This record gives sequence, C-alpha cells and structure tokens, in this order.
Amino acid sequence: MIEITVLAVYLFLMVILGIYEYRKTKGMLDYYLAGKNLGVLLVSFSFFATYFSTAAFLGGGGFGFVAGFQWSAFLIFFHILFAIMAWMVIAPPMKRIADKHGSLTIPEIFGMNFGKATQFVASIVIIVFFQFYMVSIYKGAGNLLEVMLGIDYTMALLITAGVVMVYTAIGGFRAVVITDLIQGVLVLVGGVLLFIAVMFYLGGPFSAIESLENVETLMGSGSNFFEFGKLAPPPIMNAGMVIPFVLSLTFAISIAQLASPQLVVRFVAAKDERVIEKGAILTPLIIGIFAICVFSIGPFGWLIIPEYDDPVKYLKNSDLVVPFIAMKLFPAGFNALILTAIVAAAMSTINSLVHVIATSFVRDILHNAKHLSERTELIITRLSVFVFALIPVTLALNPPDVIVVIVGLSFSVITSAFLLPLLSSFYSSKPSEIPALASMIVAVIVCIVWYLYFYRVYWIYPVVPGLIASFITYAVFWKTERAFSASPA
Amino acid sequence: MVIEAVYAASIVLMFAGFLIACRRSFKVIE
Repeated sequence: MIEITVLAVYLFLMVILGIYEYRKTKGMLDYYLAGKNLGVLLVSFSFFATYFSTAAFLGGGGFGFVAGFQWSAFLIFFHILFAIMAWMVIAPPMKRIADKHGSLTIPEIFGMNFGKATQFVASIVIIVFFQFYMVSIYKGAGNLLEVMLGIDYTMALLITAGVVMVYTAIGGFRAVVITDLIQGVLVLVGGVLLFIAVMFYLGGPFSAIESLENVETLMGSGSNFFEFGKLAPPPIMNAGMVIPFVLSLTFAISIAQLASPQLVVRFVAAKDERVIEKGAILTPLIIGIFAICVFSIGPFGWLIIPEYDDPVKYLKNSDLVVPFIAMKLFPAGFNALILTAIVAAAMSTINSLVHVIATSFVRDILHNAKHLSERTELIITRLSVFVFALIPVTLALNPPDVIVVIVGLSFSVITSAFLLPLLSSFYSSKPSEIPALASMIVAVIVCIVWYLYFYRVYWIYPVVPGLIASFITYAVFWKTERAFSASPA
Repeated sequence: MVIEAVYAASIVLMFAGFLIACRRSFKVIE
C-alpha cells in the first residue's frame, strides 16, 4: 500500500510541476528550449535522467546476473568515456553553432549547416525510430508496475503515458527539465542506496566478492563471473562470440550519449558556455557514480535471489533482478522509493523523447512546408505531444513481431545516423549536404539489414557496422565531391 | 585480470575527466 501511495504522490507532483511551468511558458523558445536559460544543475541532471531510462536500472543492472562482471566493467568504462566526450567534444561547439543560427531543434542545426533535405530526413528518422524506442520504455514501465504493484499492464501504460503527456504538453521543455531534475536526483539516490544496501547485506565489498567466487551457480563456479569472455546467453556462447557481443553492446548503449537528439538538445538550452563548462565537471561524475553502483549489482544477485526464489526465472528475464533485490533488501518505505526511482527513470526518458518528436515534427517538417504563426505552431506542438505519446502505447499493448524487431534496433539507428552529421556540423570547415545525407541514409539501411540478417550470426550490435558504414560513406562522398569541384570544367 | 583493469581504468578516467573539466572551467574564468 505504501508503494502505491508514494508513487501516487510522485505522479501528482509531476503534474503540478507541469501546470506551474505552463504559466512561465510564453512562446516557442520557452516551449522548445526553456528560453535557453538553464543553469548547470538543470542541464546536468536533465541529461543524466534522460539518458538513464528503465533500461539502465533493469537491463544495465540486471544483465550482469547472466554475463558477470565483464558486462558491468565495460558498461561502466564506456559510459564514463562517452559522458566526458559528450560534454567536452559535442557540447561546446553545439551551443556556439545553435546560438549562431538560432536553431531550436537538432535537425534544424543540420538544416542550417547542410540543407533542408538533411533536416527533413533527420526529422523523419527521429519521429519513426523514437516512436518505436518509446514502445520499449513503456513496456519496461508497464511490466514493472504489473509485477511489483499488481497494477494491470494496460492501466500501468495509461497511467505512465497520461501523466507524461499532460505535464509535457502543457509545461513544454521547462516542465521536462524541472521534472528531470527531481527524477534525476531520485534515480541517482535510488541507485546509490541500492548498491549500499546490497553491500551491507553481503557484509561489505570484499566479503561479497569472496562469497561470489566460492558459490556454485547454474552458470558454473562463481569465479566465472570474474572472467572475460566466459559468460553470456547460450546462443552467444555456442557461437563463440561472447567478447564481440559484450564489447559491441556496451559500446552501443554508451555511445548514444554523443548523438541522441533528446540528450544533446540540452546543450542548446544551456544559459551560456559557462554552464557547459561546469556541466562537464558535474555530469560525467554523477554518470560514473551511478554506473559503478547500479551496473555492478547484477552478479551479486546470485548471493541473494536463490535464497528466496528460483534463479532460472531471472536468467530468462534478467530485467527482474534489480527490482527483486530492491523489494527484498529494503523495508517497505525505502523499496517504494526505489520503485518510484525506476518509474522516474522511465518517465524522464519518455517525456524527452515525446518532446523531441513533437518539436521536430512541427519545426522541421510543418514549419518548412507551410507558414504558420508562432501561436499556431505552439498549439500544434502541444497537440502533437498527446498524439506521439499515445501511438507507442497502442503498440506496447500487444506488439506484433515486426514492432519488436524495430524496437530492438531503434536506438542503434538514431546513434549511427546522427553522430557523423553532428561531428561534421561542428568540426568540418566546409560542411556539405550530400556526404552528410548519404551517411545518414546508409547508416539507417546498414543498421536495419545487419540487425535482420547478421546480428544473430556474429552477435555484434548494429551500432558498430552502422557507424563504420556511415564514416566510409561520408568519406567517399566527401572525396568524390571535392574531386569534382577541383577538376576543371 | 581484464575486468579489474577495466574497473580501475574507469575510475581513473572519471577522475581524470573531472580534473580536465575543472582546469578548462578555470581557464574560461581567467
């Protein structure tokens, strides 16, 4: 009962914040980028909360139960590496260039640097693939509320979507970042507390490691959890592809920090470059602390779960590991906090995705197709939030197989398609449309083809071939274009 | 051995990133 009460108070608070921020939202710049007036705490925690969805708590934290500490170690390393790169390599030039052109969305930066065709394609990629990405987050939140609180799955989806769309539609980006701040603090505190609770339960880190090394599990000796290249789900072990699988998947998840539009748009909303400089100090630190705490929990599940339940269930669905540990180790009040933190992680990602989809639809497609007044564009953006928040709910209710496939590769597509055009926008002295557009389209195609036909053979996640193809395409088109422009007519 | 090294590298990287960001931030103030 206390879990439902805490969750209800949290949801009510989110809606109140949305209404409060509505009164401060005067026009497009406010609704799209919070008036470009965000301080370091809002930008940093908003970046952190948006990036860590339920997938971080459930998948990132739980998969170590199956794959051991190799998963945890590389996931932590790549998270810290790409967080530092995002704030030092991407953020400063993005803020400068977006301010110079007055861009409100990431595709609009492409439009200013490359041309309208790149802006249009980038917007379509965002709308299509983020809708599918949202399906996976809705499903995570729905399953969690169903398993942990016994709320009907459909009802859980509707509650999550309903609250997010109300505060996002009325409060805009201001509501998104202020709720992100609260959700980010909840997620960080929840993650660190959970790690401390696990260590406390197991008698400290050294005792926990020693116990795990000596325990016999369904995966063999506990010492296997400390080996590199030894553990993975059976199809990957049978194919002998454990190392490529672990390296490519941890790399793929973490590199999303460099190029995901819903994350990097926060750099544009910062008040000035000083905020970016300070954010570069704070954000990688909180991402690192959270990653070290939460991603290291999974393998220790073998010292907790078998005492209460059959571990086979958790091997088949490792997303259950972290919530189960939280529910067992914390007293009722605290486990409500952890549960709310996991729901907060889902909502802070959904609100940013739906905001970036709606703003891109209006600013990058409608705005270029038809002249509308600022007031009309604002109304359409608000209505679009409702529509784009509800479409993935209908897909999450009973997803057909083809949807499951697209969801699986959606964030790979976004990262592969956006990274090179972003780098080219910032660091190329002569940004050119054809190489950027070609690299984006080829990245999308390669990701889809690889995921459908090669992923289950080589177990290398599609981001890796997608990025390689994108770089090669860009280089070939850029060289060819230069050769043509240099040759005498 | 590999896993211990990656954990150690992560912690070193986190603090190195923190120090570099602090240096850059103070340079901007100057």
